[in-house]
Amino acid sequence: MAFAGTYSDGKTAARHDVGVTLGPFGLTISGTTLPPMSWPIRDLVVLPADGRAAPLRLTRRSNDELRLVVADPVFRELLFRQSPSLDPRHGRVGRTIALIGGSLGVAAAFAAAFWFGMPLVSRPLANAIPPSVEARIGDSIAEVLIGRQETCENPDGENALDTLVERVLAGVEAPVDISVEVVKSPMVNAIALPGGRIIIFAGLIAKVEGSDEVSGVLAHEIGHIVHRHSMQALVRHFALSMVVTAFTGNDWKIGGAAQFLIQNAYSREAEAEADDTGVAILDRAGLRADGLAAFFGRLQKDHDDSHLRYIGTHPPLADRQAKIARGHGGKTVLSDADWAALRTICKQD
Amino acid sequence: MASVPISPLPTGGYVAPLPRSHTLDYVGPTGTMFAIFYKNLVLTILTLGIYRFWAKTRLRRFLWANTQVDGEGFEYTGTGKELFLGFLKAVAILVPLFGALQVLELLVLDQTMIGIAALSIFRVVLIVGLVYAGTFSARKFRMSRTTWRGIRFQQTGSMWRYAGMALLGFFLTAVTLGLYLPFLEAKLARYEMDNLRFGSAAFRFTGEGKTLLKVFLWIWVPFVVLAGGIGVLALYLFSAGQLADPKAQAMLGFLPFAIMIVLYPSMFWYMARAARFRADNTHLEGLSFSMPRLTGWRIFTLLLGNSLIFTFSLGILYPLTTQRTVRFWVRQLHLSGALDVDAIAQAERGPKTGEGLAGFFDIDVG
Repeated sequence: MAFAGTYSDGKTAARHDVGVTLGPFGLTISGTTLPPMSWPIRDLVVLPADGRAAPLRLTRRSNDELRLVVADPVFRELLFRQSPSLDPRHGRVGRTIALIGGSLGVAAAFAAAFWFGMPLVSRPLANAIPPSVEARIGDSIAEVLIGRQETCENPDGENALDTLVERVLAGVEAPVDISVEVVKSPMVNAIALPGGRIIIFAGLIAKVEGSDEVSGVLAHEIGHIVHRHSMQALVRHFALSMVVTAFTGNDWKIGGAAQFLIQNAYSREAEAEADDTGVAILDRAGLRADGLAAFFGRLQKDHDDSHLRYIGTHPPLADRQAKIARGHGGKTVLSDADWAALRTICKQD
Repeated sequence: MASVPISPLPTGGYVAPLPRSHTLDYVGPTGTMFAIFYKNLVLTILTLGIYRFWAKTRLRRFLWANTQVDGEGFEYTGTGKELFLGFLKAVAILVPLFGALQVLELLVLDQTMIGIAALSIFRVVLIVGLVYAGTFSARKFRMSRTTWRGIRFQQTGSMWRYAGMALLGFFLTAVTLGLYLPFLEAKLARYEMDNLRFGSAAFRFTGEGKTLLKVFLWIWVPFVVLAGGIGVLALYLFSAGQLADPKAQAMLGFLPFAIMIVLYPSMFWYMARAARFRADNTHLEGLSFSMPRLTGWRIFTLLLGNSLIFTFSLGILYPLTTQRTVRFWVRQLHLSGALDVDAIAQAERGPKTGEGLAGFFDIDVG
């Protein structure tokens, strides 16, 4: 039985009306304007189409510019019954499962490469960045972070702060360039930026009871700087945001870097490393090293999250407190008078 | 066929309107559209987005097949794999490029204002240039994957030249306070069309910027007069020392909105006229295009209808808005004159992968 169809040869847009017969080995195509042709089954390609009413469109593997269109659904049925593998629905479920599985596999591979690969490369990469560049990056982030907030510049307070910093630095082995500033902000937090800039938010100084807790936090932040944690975190963030940018087209901004550093910069390992280094610095400087642990204890008691960013961003405080527990040995870092002066650092005179 | 003697035109100068020689229609069933859209959505989510290239391919195949000339549909011959590979290629080039740009940004951010300004201008130029280059390159791919009766379309021309024309045009538009815009539109349309072929038949664009300028002036002049008026008023209030008066401030703040409200409808009017300008000046050998029934009001009702449908169905009926949009534009386009279809020969094959740049910037080219 011959089915009515149309045929284009892919050389011109002329359309030929043809009759198509399905035989055991292929199609026979004949028309008044054409010499008869035979298309073997194994050379046939069924073009994808949507909707049941869509006419069957065929081409050939050996020449994909040919088009044979047969509208009669009976022809389609006969053809697919004879050669089920030509049916586009053939093996569709398997293909769909393979597609979803494959995609999830690719995503998992990416995630794994990131999770295990980044810690290995972020440290050498961070160390390869020259200090001058690192300082500039730190300044850029500081600008975003501090923004319009004022730095606290009460002269007596600054003198006291300088004294404190100097005494803590005495315990640092290799010389590091460090600058410490206090910013008027209710956040109970301190942050170490690339290039050795440490920013203490005024909320922290208001919260603590005693200069040893400030020196404890400061020594901890110095620990981050000694190990170049912030630069490593930024390298990781860079790499991650590039991948994200690649897939979503979103742009990465410096504000994002600042936020990132506040919220989830450091890994557990980095925090532990900074804790240990901080305590070691204070021990070497001959100062009381139980301040940081005391500060953690204070934070745990108070669960007002709006002020206590420290809790959300760091590993469990109780664990860390236990790890760095110390006796009361060593000198208190500031005299009572100096401590009183430091607490006024944000007061205008 | 017997030869028919061709009679000269009647001396009265009457020229009969060209008959509608070929029909163009969109006949996609709405049910199938919904099925495709939701299958695509589910698979895209399940594959964490990777399926989107195949999804796009599927949707296009449907739209193309149901856009029919003389009852015969177009065919989209592109594959999801080609789009995917094109995207990977773009990622491989663009990610290091943007990475370098970000490092550069970090380095100058705390430096001089000039450095910041230069970098942000560079960024804008780069991104706008890439967007236009990507759009044109996507056109090349799409056209090469569009066939009718087995004959391919072919978009020639350089994506970088196209991007350069756009960038220069935007600069001139800024310098001339917008007056250059119609010329830019005409120039880009000419570049697109004069480099477009259907098989061996070449498209031609005959429009000139000054024609569109005459239309554009109808909204440009009122805008400049109104904006200038506000400026003068502000200057007067300032010199009279009344700028601090809250009443004066409220008035000055309201006036720009008033301008927008007045000029908003004219935007649709211009959109319609610009689309008609593009269509009316496009020719394919003996075939001419036009959009005789297109008005700003019709565009407005189309867009308003779409946003109402989308909003009140909470997005569920989104495929319906696609249907409406495609049907609207296909049915607006009117074909007249004749094309000797049988004589049209095949065009060269197009690029192997495609639309990477456009895909990266998420330009939806349909």
